[in-house]
Amino acid sequence: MPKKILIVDDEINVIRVIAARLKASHYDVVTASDGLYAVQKAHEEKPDLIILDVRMPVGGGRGVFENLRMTSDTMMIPVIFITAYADDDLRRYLLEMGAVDFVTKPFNADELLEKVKKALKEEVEKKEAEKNG
Amino acid sequence: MDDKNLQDLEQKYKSIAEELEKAKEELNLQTWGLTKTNDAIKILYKELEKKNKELQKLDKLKTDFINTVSHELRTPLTTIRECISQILDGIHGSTNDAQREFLSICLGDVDRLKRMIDDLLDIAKLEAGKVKIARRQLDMAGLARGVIAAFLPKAKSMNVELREKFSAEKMMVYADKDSMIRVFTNLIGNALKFTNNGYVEISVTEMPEYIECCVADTGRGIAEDDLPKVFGKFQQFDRKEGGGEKGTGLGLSISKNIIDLHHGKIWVESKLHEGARFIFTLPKYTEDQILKEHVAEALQEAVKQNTPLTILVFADINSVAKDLERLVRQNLRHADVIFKNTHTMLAVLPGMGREDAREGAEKILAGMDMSKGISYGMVSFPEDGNTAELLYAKITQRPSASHV
Amino acid sequence: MAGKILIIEDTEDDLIIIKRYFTHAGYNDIITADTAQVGIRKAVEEKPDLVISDTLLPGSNGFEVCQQIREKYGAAPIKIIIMTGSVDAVDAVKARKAGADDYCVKTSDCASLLEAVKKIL
Repeated sequence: MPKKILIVDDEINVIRVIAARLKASHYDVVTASDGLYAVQKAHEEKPDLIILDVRMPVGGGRGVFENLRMTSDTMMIPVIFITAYADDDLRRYLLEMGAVDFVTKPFNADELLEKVKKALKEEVEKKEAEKNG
Repeated sequence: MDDKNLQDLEQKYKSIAEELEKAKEELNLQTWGLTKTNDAIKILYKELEKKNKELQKLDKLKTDFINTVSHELRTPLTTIRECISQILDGIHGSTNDAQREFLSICLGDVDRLKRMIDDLLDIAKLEAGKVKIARRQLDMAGLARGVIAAFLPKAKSMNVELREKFSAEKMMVYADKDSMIRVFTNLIGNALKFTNNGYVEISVTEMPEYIECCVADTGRGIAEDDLPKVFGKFQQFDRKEGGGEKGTGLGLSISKNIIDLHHGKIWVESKLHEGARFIFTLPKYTEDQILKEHVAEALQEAVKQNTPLTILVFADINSVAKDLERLVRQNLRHADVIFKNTHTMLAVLPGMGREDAREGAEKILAGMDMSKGISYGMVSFPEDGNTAELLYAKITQRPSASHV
Repeated sequence: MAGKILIIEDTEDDLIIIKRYFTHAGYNDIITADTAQVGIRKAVEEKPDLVISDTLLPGSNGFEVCQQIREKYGAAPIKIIIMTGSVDAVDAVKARKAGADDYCVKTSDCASLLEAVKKIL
């Protein structure tokens, strides 16, 4: 079954472009262009991975992330952040809070796809470990 | 006779009274002067405060600008790059050769634009004093070797030899690792760009007071008129065609900024058609100087942010140094850990007051298996002093402090 | 507001700032000089109501200027203020003794100076 990825970014073009790339790599895609809608979608669709822009009006990437971490059915979904600038403090904070990875704009498609693959694989491995362990 | 005496006395009295009057006037004048000055000083203080606030505001504006520009410019670049890349990858249908060729040209320039934005922002940050370099003791020879190794494939494909000349196997220098890699990458990359055949020699030499690094090439050299401009922004001299991506013209400017931050010197020696030698030096630091610098930097930040600063001095650590370091880093996230020698370790804790530091230290020692034998002391700002010298003196003064 | 003011200041940037704040405060009749000599001459020729002089001037100083103007003017009701960027208690007394009516500090908003001028004119 193809993995489902939720893309959250306030720029429609960014969403379109990432969605096209992910679909071409055989992932299912759902999208949201603001924080509130993103949280709603996350609960509805229960994606396997969320790609989230750090800077967004209405909710902000960080706010969405913290929100999702607080509800049981969304807290385990791995999140990859998209950021435009290398703010070390922000990165450290989000990684500490549990973000799985980062991509910096403008990113290579290969870089993004690799990170997506890695995050999903780790997720599967984690679930296996829990089942067995 | 009495009359004369009386007159004399009257005279004396008058002159004393006059002198007294004069003295009173003078006193009034001096008082007026002092009051004026006092008031003026108060006014000047307020002025200073106001200017300070303005400067802080400007500073924040600069940072916000850098961050905003960064974000705003990078976002459209992302979509442009991805669109072109996807078409080239055939995701949106097939393309003919000509289309692919021109789209590739687009992609190349998009990437070049990205590099320019990155470099420009780096320069803006460097010049605004916003780049914090993390200097540590590192082996310059090893670092240089690493960069050279990365360039080997490229040099080979260009038929240019990469030579290394180190005066010792290992040479320790106090510098920021990423910055040094960047400088070497910039200099070696440039050398390769301007050398058709021959070699590029990277040398690292240890001198008594400093370490000297040199990247020399047998390339086309730099004209005398161009020499002064070499480290300026957006300077690109003619280079041979092909041979990799086009530069941004900012690399040397960034390198110079980095070396300046390290209190070193960088310069170029070259003659047209006779190759070029780019040389930079880094001063050598004694352990004490390094320590003092860490303290001074942390203190500067504390004063700027108006936050306290505490330095934990762990003594007699000997064999448990590694465990201690691990616990410190785990429990005190922002700690700057420095080893003064084999039995003393310092943890510089920015933003922490004495109480919080004490709590942290107790927690750490509780987590150590053998907490006996290890003792710690605390030196803090503002309680123990407000200059780096004072704090440093207190730190070195503690031979083996007992629990405080 | 009444009052012809002569400002003797050799630093162009400072002069521009002072003129700007003074005109804004309503003092439109302003003449300037950038050396002691020219300043003293203009004081005598143009007969301002108030002379404001910087302490430091090329080849001379505000106290000299003040003294000279007092000598040339005698008991005429011309007011003099000496202004400075670096306030000093000794200079304050010196200013008074040279015949100045006040001694002021220069600030970027000319507040202190304008206050003194208001009191005097």
